Amino acid sequence: MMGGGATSWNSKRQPTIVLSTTAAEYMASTQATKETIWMTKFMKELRYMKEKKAMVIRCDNQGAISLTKNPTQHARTKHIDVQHHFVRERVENGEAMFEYCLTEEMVADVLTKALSKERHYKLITMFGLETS
Amino acid sequence: MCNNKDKLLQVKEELSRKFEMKDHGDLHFFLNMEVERDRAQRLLYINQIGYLKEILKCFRMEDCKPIGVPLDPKTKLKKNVNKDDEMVKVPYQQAMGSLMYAMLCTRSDLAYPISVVSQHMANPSLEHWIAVKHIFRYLQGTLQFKLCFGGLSPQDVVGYCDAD
Repeated sequence: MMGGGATSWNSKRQPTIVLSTTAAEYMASTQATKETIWMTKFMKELRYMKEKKAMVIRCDNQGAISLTKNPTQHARTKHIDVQHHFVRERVENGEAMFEYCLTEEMVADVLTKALSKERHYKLITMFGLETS
Repeated sequence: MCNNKDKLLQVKEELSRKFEMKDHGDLHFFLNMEVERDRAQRLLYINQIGYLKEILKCFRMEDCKPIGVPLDPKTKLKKNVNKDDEMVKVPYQQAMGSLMYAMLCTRSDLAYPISVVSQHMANPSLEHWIAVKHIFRYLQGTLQFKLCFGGLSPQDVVGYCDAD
């Protein structure tokens, strides 16, 4: 999202089976991080962004956020694939930053499931889709 | 992208010396997308109304009844196990392609429904085709939606991620 509108979006079927919602969100955040890193680089190339800032990624799962910050290993997360710890590395070197966002305000919800009418229109307006 | 008008003109002039080119002024139409600007409020709209009307017509859905949501939350699409002879005649894949272009350019709201119906692209059943037509009916009702960017909104890039 940029300038009040969506600039890039993606809806994907999960490639592997996960055992918890946290792991699922964590995998989704890997995708989001890849995209945002490219976006920052592009914006810098256009000299649109002056200094290197950590890009904010909003996520509605507290577990996934703490997983990006805290390199702990315990019984419930030790099975998560190494490739997904890519996110952790980006957070460590300050390229990305994760923030919590309420499920109600999660714009990306519209990309993951079929919603009721009211919620669908609320979210697509947040996406920047409107009838002028 | 430049904020110095003299430099902009200079580059334009140098380019036109080397290549044959025309200046059409502000961008209005590009790859089936229409671009509108509201300079006073610093807004930029991108829409595909023309393209959407065209694909509705192409699949003979131009007079269909509009519907609220692109995918019914209750429907569960199952894999089609038997081969339907009738479905061979249905332009399922063409419809997917046309919808996909709209989705990629301006209509992010179609991303999920398309990802669901396109999983059955190889062997669609009537049920799947109805789901595709459902998307067209949703488009009929939301033709006027435009992707809007504002110069006064926050300019930082913010990412959102979610899983289900």
